[in-house]
Amino acid sequence: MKKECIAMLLAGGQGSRLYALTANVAKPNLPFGGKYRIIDFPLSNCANSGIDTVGVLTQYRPMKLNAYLGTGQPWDLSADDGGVFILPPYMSAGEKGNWFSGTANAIYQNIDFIDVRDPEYVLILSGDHIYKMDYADMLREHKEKGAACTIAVIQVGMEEAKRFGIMSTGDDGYINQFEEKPAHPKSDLASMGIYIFTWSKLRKALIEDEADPDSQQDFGKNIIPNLLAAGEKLWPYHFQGYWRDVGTITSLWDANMDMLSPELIDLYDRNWPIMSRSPIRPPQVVGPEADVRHSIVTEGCIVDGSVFNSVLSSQVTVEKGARVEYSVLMPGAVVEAGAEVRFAILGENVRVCRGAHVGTEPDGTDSWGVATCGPDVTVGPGAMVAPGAMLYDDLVAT
Amino acid sequence: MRNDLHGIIYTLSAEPALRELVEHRNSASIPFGGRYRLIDFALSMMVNAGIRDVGVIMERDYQSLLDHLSNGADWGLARRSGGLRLLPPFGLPEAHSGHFSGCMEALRSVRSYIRDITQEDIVLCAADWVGNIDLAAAVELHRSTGAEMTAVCSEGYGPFAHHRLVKDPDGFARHLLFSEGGPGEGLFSREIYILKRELLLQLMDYCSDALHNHFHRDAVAHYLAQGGKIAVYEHNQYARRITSVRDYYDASMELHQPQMMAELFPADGLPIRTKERAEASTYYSDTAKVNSSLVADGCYIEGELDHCILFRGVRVAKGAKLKNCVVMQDTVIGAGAQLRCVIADKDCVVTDNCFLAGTDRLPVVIPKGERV
Repeated sequence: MKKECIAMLLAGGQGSRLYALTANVAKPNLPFGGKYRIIDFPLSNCANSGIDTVGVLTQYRPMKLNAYLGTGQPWDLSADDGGVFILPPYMSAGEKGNWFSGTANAIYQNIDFIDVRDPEYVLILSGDHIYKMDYADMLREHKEKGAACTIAVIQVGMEEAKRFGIMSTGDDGYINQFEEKPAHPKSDLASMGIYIFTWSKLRKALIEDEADPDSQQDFGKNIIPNLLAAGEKLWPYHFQGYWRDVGTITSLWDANMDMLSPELIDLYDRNWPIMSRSPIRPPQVVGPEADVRHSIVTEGCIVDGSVFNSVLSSQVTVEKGARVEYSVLMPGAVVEAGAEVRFAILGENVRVCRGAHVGTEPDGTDSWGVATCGPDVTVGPGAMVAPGAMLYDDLVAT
Repeated sequence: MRNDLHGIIYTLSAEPALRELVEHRNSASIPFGGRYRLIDFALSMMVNAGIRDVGVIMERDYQSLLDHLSNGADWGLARRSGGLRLLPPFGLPEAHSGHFSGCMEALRSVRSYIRDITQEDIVLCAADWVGNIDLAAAVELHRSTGAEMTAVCSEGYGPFAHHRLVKDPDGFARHLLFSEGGPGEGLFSREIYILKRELLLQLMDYCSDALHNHFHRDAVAHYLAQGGKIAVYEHNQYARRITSVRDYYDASMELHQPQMMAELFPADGLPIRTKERAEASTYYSDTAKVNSSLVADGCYIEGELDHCILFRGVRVAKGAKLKNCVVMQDTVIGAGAQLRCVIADKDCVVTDNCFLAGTDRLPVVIPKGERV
């Protein structure tokens, strides 16, 4: 069962900055870009890169995510000697069992899972990034450079750099400094949270880190700085292309809008398909009164209203006379006749009733933001959801 | 939950009137409705009724069908015990032409398969029709009436609706009528039958001895002549056979009626399953103008569509105008092209500014893989 490289996908985060959208589901399971769930991107990248074994570390609200992953068959990850493995926290004999206390701890608790597969290398991924990447190319560089750890990096602006783990490199190209969210960044090379480790080195580092009572058991805060301090070789893998972290309402909305610009990320590339588990629905029906422009629409949708600059997931209904602009509509959302949805995110099965309004165009004020309706919420007839609002419960017009 | 049913679908030679549509395939694998193949309707009907064992009898030109069905996983039929069984022609006498002259002959070619079926009842149907039939309800009727044979029938008269059954007051039909022209008495048979395995084997033996090859003319007529009776399950929602290019075009255009769509793809059950493909959602550009159309995923639309059906992965470039067209998988329509009443098969290329027009009665068909 020897494997050269297996992937461990961190999918246990709550995504607390997405509020109502992740109140009941894990962030990686959020619908994205019409056809997809966020986790489809790293899973498809694995399949397309030839990595056939993926451990998915779950913790927060995993029920729907587990059901979505199933056997991994939609991503061609159901091979006999590989597959998708859901790895929740568990109990051991004589111990109480612990929740994953940090990203590194989550891997530490699954050392046995990795040891059984006996890989040379382990790829660590996040379940909340939108990008296409050939991990095989990254692995090639990792081997070529004889690194203990290779970190995928992307250039961000100096101002943005404060939000990321920032790498500095020496003349030889290897990483000589790593700072997590620095106040005064020394470089604009940001960690994408994608690592390839030589397993023997990571295994040792995880065990040492676990013994340190002061550690936060986090890759960025502990494991990487420790390896650097121990004099290990860390190599930056420079990624060119589209990559977004979708941890906030604004970034989730922005990244969805990016899907409307095929020059940013080509989802129609047959050589690098992003795969997903789709509900069994007929093709989308575009009605006689429909006007759909600069938008993406998915099977099972029924559209007879106006849809501009928007992303419609499966089974969305936009009735005649309804208007949807610059918005993200998750599966099963309904916009009734005469309702208007602008600069908004509608969670799964949200119903916007006749004459209701959700969100407005940007007005230049600081208080403006994308309006969000949590899953299963009904916006009653004629009700108004203000820009920037976060709706957890049904709303009735006042 | 196991039920005592086994499905058999026969995919025999295509009607010549399907012309280019069956140049590279049999009628069971003709693409239909934006993302389906005709056999999906028969298969989904069976799976939705809880059938977990389906045999598909193939005659010729079945490569495309094999590719579509694969191991049956997309219909939930990839199973360790039972599941989908593909039955290509095999074990025929050497002198046989490889062409079955009727359903009974096709069944005879897989006699050992049928003999070994463990379920009590067999559902038998062809794969050249479109519809969404609640087979579970038909099976319930079959069981509650204690019938040996149950037929799915419809009111009215359509193409190939010439096998007609007239119900007696007790609900059973005891006579089969053949009506070549005009509406006849009774209901017409949808050629979907539920019958006891034992009865089917008996009828096969009778037909074999007598060199009879046809299901209705020979087997059913014989059964009724011996005093048999047929329970009749009425299906009066949308369904139709596809036996010519004209049928195909008409059935496709009927999908633009919301009522037909609702009957074929009900929102709350009886899903029509098909082979999955990894696709993105469909992109509509700034210049897209789409009305009254059915569009599958993975399309990229910059042009204008009116009363069209687009299959997965179709590209329609800027300035292209399509009216009353069916465009199958991965076909590319060039900029400024104008098409009217055209059926473009899969993997075609319609070059920039090309002009093609058929009529409702005589749609133009672009054969698979052609460049126009």
